[in-house]
Amino acid sequence: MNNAYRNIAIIAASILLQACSSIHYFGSYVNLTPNTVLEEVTELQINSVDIFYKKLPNYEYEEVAIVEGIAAGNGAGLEHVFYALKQQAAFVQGDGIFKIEIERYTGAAANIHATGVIIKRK
Amino acid sequence: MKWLVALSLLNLIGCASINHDPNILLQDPYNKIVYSSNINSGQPKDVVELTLGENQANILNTIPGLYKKVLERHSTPDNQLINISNLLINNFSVTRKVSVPYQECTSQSQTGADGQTTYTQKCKTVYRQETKYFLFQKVTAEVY
Repeated sequence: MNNAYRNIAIIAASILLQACSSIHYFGSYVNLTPNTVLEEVTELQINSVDIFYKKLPNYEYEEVAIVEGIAAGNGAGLEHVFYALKQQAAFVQGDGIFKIEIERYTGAAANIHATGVIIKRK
Repeated sequence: MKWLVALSLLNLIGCASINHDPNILLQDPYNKIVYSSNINSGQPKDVVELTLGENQANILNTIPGLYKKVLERHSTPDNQLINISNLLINNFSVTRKVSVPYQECTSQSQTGADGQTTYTQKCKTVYRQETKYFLFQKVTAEVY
């Protein structure tokens, strides 16, 4: 009986997780200055990137790269496009993303296109 | 629990697809441009702007395109560095009515005296008006 409950829980979790796969998000970035070293990205690094949405951060910073993220598909939300931006920022070890520009558009599927500038603490 | 962790990891791999070219602006001739995030003193001597649409509307195309335009307008014979600042990126979409071609086909059948049925199909191209969304990206920089 316990096994049956476990299997039901696994199937339910798979269905919930599968919902995410309908959202496709990806990103890109270009460097502004030749001073960054790429390192392996960890979940921790992604979470440590702050989003400063059209608001000045209260620390001294320098702009190091431009990032872009796109979330597409049913259920695509700001959280997905921000995750894509953070992922790119983590690649260049940024502390935050600033000057974010967001555009939502709909075609065959919902799309959110966002760009931002990665900043690093001085 | 192990199943859930494995599924989550697989799901993360499936969701995230990354395309990046971090060295695009570090190569010659783009490295002649020096970007500074805070030039506030003085008036810029030029403002350069570039807008690209559809599959070109992403930073991997617009930023190098903007840098190329800056180089075209401000390169000196002695290859001096060019200072730029206040880079702005603007994403926007435009709705347009476009004519989309479709094939409209009709078929007819004819049964002869021998009982054999033959089919003929006639097709013509018709155009329908559809609303489409076009994505654009506009980038601007000040040259000092």
